[in-house]
Amino acid sequence: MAERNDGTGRALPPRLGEASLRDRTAVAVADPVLRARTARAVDRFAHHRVESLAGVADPEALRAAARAVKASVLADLPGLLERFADKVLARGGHVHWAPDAATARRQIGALAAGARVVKSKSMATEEIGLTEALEADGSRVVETDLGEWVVQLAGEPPSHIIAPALHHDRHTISELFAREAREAGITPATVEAEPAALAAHARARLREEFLAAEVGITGANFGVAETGSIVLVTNEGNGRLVTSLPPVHVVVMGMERLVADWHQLDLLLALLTRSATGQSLTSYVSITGGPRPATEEAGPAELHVVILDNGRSALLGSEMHEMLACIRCGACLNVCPVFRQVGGHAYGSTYPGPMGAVLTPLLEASTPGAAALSDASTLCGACVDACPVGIPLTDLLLSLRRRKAAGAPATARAAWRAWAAAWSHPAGYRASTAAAATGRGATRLAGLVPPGSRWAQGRTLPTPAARTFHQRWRAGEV
Amino acid sequence: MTTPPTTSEATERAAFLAPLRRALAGVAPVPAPHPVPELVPLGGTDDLLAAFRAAATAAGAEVVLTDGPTVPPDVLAAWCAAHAVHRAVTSAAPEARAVGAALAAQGIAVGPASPAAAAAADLGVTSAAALVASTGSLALRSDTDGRLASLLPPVHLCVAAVDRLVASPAAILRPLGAAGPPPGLVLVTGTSRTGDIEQILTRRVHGPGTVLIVVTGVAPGATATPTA
Repeated sequence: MAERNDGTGRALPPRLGEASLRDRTAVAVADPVLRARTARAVDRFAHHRVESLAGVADPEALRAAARAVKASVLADLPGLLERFADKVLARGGHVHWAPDAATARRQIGALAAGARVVKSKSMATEEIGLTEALEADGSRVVETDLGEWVVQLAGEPPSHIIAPALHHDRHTISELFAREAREAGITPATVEAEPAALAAHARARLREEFLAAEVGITGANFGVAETGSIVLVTNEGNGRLVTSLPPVHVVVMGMERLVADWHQLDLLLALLTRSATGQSLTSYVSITGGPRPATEEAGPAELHVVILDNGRSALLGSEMHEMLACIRCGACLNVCPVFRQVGGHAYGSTYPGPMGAVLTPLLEASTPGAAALSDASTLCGACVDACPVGIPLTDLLLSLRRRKAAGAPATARAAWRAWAAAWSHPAGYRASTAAAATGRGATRLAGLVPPGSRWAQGRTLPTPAARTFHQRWRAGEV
Repeated sequence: MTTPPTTSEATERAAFLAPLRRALAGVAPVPAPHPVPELVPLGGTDDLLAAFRAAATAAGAEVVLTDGPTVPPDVLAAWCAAHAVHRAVTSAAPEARAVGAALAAQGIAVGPASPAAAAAADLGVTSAAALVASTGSLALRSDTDGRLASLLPPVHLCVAAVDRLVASPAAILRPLGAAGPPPGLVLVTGTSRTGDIEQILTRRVHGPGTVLIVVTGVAPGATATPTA
């Protein structure tokens, strides 16, 4: 297992491909502080979501409508993308089409290589490894969402798509800020471990970055095809700064993040903020519609929109089609019993939780261990109930498990097939239960070899009855 | 009124969309729901002013109602003292410039919201295109209220007439399709905030930590509580 350090002495969590799901989970399970922080955060989010939806009329009807909206958008995605792009161009913006992550990195690199870059939180840019690529090209890239800045300073990926630093507390954040201040030559290089002091420190440090930045990079919560507009949902105000101060604004938008018009946007926005944090609206909903006209005091002179496929088109029209309806609210993470126990880093990938357990095997299919993430679910269905656009996450997880099983070793598949064949016939079934009754007491779970022995940990086998039901039935005993 | 795409954009676009079209070849069109239902808060917003004040206050803003055309002078003086205002910037909106003139009369340095001036200011003054009752939000358009006066200073003062009240975000968002939004449009709800440190609500991260809203032209007795 790779051992890296975040600079304050804490080992960094292993990523997909560096350790198995089991081993990544073991790291998380052995960390009671992480588990307590995760549980407290997701419980709070989940509570706020329920409370806020309880305050609106007929939330189920809204959810059904949102699902129908996304279904209509996905079925007409090429046409809507063309409309969106035409409108962006008509407003004086530029559009770049990125079939994969490498193309997106190259396109953005051509705009931002060597520049001072400020970023607003964006999972799409995490997905394509943008920051690392730009830094390799000589750019200075600073995350400006407070939680994103914390995990950037720690050298970690976000652990939650809405609350990237929920695994940290005021003390670890204070240590990370102090280290950054020391490295920047700021005195005194200490930051009081109080939320208000930490926020004030981040405000002052990052304000310098905003004012000096040459390029601002954001994601897109929604693109509105009708007018070629980008909608960003934030609470801190960094999204507004990133889209207002630097002379160049680059948007990285997953191709499925479209809505057709402002009526659809109104509905999905209302569900997004309530499902994510329980707010009726976040502090700032920023709508960006193009470069700055000469008459306005601020805003980017150049607007570039990078539309990203990166594996998404393989889902279109497939049994995984509905996953593209995801609006990245994080509600499924907050109700998931698996996420609650292990947190986001155990998934080892950009997208954690139930939505990540579906997306990662699809978008990162070539990464070793990605397919195993479909096992990171109890299939309890809480995620399906919480999803504001009604994605059948458990069905999709089962489909992924079926795909994975098709790639299992021939011996394992042969054994399961033999079992299925035997139990498909009364004689075969009776023979197996009779054998179990005969072998009473001889069956020892502990004697299993891996992976059976792992499954057997903490489990005991019920003792089979001395005579099977069939034998007793024939003897007239039942 | 569409600009013809550049050759490389058109080529990139065609290559990008081809696999999408192939994938969707067997998928029947799905009609979009029409009309798209609106979210209706339980409890209603019949009294828009009362709903606005309650929602904005809950989001961390301070709301003052006045029957006059601008911020009452005593309120303005008290706020300037409380927030140690020495320098202020205003947007180009006439309501904001009127407040700017009143501030200048109190000896405060006032100017337009250039990036440097706004970054150095203690107070930014704007109006709003709309006040959203159900969420307590201010709708700020970049073409009338700019971007920086409501963003860079630690205190944002917004003054808008009571006839700018609308019921919900839908009233702002849904009509945008007709003319299209301005280059920048933001719905501001309360203060800048974060929950990134232990999920503790912490105000004033990158945007203003204090939001003061003055609703003007409120008829005396329009609400149950007295106006300023």
